[in-house]
Amino acid sequence: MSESQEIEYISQIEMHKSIIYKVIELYVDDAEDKKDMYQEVLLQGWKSYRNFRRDSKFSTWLYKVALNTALTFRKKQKRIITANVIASHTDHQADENHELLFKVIKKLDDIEKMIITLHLDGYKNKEIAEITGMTSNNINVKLYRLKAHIIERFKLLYHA
Amino acid sequence: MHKKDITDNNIQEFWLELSEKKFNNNQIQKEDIMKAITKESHSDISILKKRLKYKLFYCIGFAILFLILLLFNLSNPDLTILFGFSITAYAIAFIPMYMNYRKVDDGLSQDENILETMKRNLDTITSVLRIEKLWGMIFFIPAVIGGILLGSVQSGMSLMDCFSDTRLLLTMIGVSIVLVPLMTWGSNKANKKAYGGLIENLKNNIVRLETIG
Repeated sequence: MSESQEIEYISQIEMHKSIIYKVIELYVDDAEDKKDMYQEVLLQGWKSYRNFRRDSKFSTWLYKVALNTALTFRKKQKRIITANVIASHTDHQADENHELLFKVIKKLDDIEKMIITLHLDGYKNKEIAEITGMTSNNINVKLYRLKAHIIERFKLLYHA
Repeated sequence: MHKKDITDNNIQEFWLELSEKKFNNNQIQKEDIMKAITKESHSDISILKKRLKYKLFYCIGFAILFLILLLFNLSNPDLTILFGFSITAYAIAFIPMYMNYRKVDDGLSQDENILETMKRNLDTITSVLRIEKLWGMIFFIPAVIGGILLGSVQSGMSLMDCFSDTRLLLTMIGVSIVLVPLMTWGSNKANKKAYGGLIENLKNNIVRLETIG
């Protein structure tokens, strides 16, 4: 691929980096696995970039690449290291709430995590269906149940 | 924001705040991206593709070797048949393997959704493993039988003598009977260890995506 495509790809990645970090944090725990998955997402993205049509959103396409990589990624070992808390925060209580929500979502299975993350990031059911291959109806039902489950789990942990 | 419950109405707001704080502060270095895109992929599909490539090289290498041996032994019809048979065996193994190699695509198509990509990946993995098993049969069994025949031909027997020698024939049949199931068992076990988890995971995710609701 040309140098201009390389520059374009890098700038797009810089703009949408949060998608990559989000998927990595949701799907792996181990620091080495995170590093490997990060490289693999960037590489898979680059390899597939020639297929990317400029008429669609890069963020949606990157989400697809990252989720695809995550769903087929093989973790090296079953070492459990708690997820990194990346940012330095000032509002401690709010962070606790956020971490709690993240923890609840991270505990879901691979497919559930994918659906709820896309939904919470603002994707419409039709778009989620296009990304995942599920039917809009199934997504609708699943989201309803998932949200109820997340809220219930959150409350349980929150009041514990 | 203070400690508060999440509800159906504020869960998205909660998540977006979380995303902003947790993931947007990360710095991504240009050098890291450059380093990552020039590295070799460690995805299962890429590894399988590489494995297939090496096997194709083996096939070509051995076919050339047997061709050279054949050319040097044109005066001996038995050896010519033996080497000719070996070259044919490698050609038979090469063709489906090459077709599969060309089919293996480790990139992502924009028109494909995640379910379609997973199905394609599952199909690729299972067909490559199947072809590798076939390659093993074609590569090892003729090699062992060829070795027995070559030894006999070099000790003065003709191919016709070899095939009419009951003891030699039984040895070849016996070796094949032992080798085929042994190899099938061995490759199944190795593949299950290497790819069983991944295949199972892909199958489960496909079923989940198709039936979830």
